[in-house]
Amino acid sequence: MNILEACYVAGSVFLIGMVISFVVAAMIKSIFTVIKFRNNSSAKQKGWKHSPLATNMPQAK
Amino acid sequence: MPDISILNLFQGLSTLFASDTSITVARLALIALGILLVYLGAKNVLEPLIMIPMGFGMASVNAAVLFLSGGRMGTIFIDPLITDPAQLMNILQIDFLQPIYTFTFSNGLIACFIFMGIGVMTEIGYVLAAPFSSMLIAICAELGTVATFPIAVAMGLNYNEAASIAMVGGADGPMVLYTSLMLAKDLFVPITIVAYLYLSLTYGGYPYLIKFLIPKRLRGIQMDLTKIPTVTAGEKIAFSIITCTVLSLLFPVAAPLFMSFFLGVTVKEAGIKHYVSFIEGPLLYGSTFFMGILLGVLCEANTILNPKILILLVLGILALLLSGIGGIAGGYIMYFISKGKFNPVIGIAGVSCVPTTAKVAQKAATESNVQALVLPYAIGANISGVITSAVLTGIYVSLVPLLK
Repeated sequence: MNILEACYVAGSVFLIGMVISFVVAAMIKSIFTVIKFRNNSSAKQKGWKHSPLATNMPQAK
Repeated sequence: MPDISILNLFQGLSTLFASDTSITVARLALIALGILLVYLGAKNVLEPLIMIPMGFGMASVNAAVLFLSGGRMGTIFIDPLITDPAQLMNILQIDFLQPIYTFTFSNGLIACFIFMGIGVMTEIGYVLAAPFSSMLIAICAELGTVATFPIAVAMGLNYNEAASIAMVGGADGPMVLYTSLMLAKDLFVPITIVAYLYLSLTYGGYPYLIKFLIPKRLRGIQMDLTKIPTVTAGEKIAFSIITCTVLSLLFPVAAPLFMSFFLGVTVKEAGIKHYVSFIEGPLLYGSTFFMGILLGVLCEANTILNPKILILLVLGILALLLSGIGGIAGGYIMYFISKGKFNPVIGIAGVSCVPTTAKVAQKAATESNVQALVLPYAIGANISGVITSAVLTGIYVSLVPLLK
């Protein structure tokens, strides 16, 4: 055991911890983005189906 | 009539005279400390939930030493050092706290129960609202957890012991307990006691650190709360299960902690009321109560009298001090990135002593400006601190045993 090696270990622990923390943060952002995208697209779909244009549109024969 | 010595009748007293002077002095000192902890806990100077049962255990176990079979001295409370299965079966039937110690404490189950309770009480939405700034502050607030490791090695501890005491910088009691149980079983009693004693002092000590490092005009910066988006229960559950799975995949050794915490969060967000009331009531308070008693009972003079205790005391306070400084540095980084719109006081909440440090941040902000509301951001940093502490626990527990 020497102090230099301990410093190296501590530095590695910090770097790995930092990378994983930012990966977690990025995961949060992407979960948000995916859910918002899904909500927006389903809202648009719902809006289109229930819009006056959709309900008054003549059915294709 | 048989000749009965008064000292044989009162064995607690006679063992005081029959022990080495150092053990006698340590027993008397620990009895006094136990009484002091009960007093300070009852006065709310220290955390009463831990300190009152711990003080009782400490005073009682050091008074109740008696002569056991073979003339050796001990107690009928607990034997933490027993390893032989046959002896353990015997002790389980004699020492009244041994079943709780063996089946919940020495395998880390009690730490997981407490972590589950923390998960149920946690509002994770604030982390999801500002994930990058919360995580940045939280990782900066792990400065003590990282920097204490080489300092501990320089002071003569081995890697396992150094990693265990360094985790005090994470300011999370169950995490320190878990790490020391995994890495330094011989020292887990003094390390955990040092951790809980110091964690009780954060509420009193950190406000001075904030005043020393942050000028009053910066402490009073108002945060823009309109930027906090609404987070639905579904988003929180999605985040919990994905993060838990990924972290468990990366660090299987710390998976019990991850699972406990995120399960607590999910149970709450799923609205399972019976589970929530069970986990945040009987499970959390029951675990905290028994952990307090066991920590106190483990402070028996023979067990705790270790030449390394002074080093642990110094390193514990150093770890918490460095983490506080690191957290405030993280707050300053966010202050500069946001061009002066971020209150650096929030940095202290990166130290994951939930919810104490978040309350310390809010109190410091309010003292400078009564309209400065920083609590939502502080809680976000606080919860991120719990996640980063768990991540660093996972890294230490996985990495350190691989080192020669």
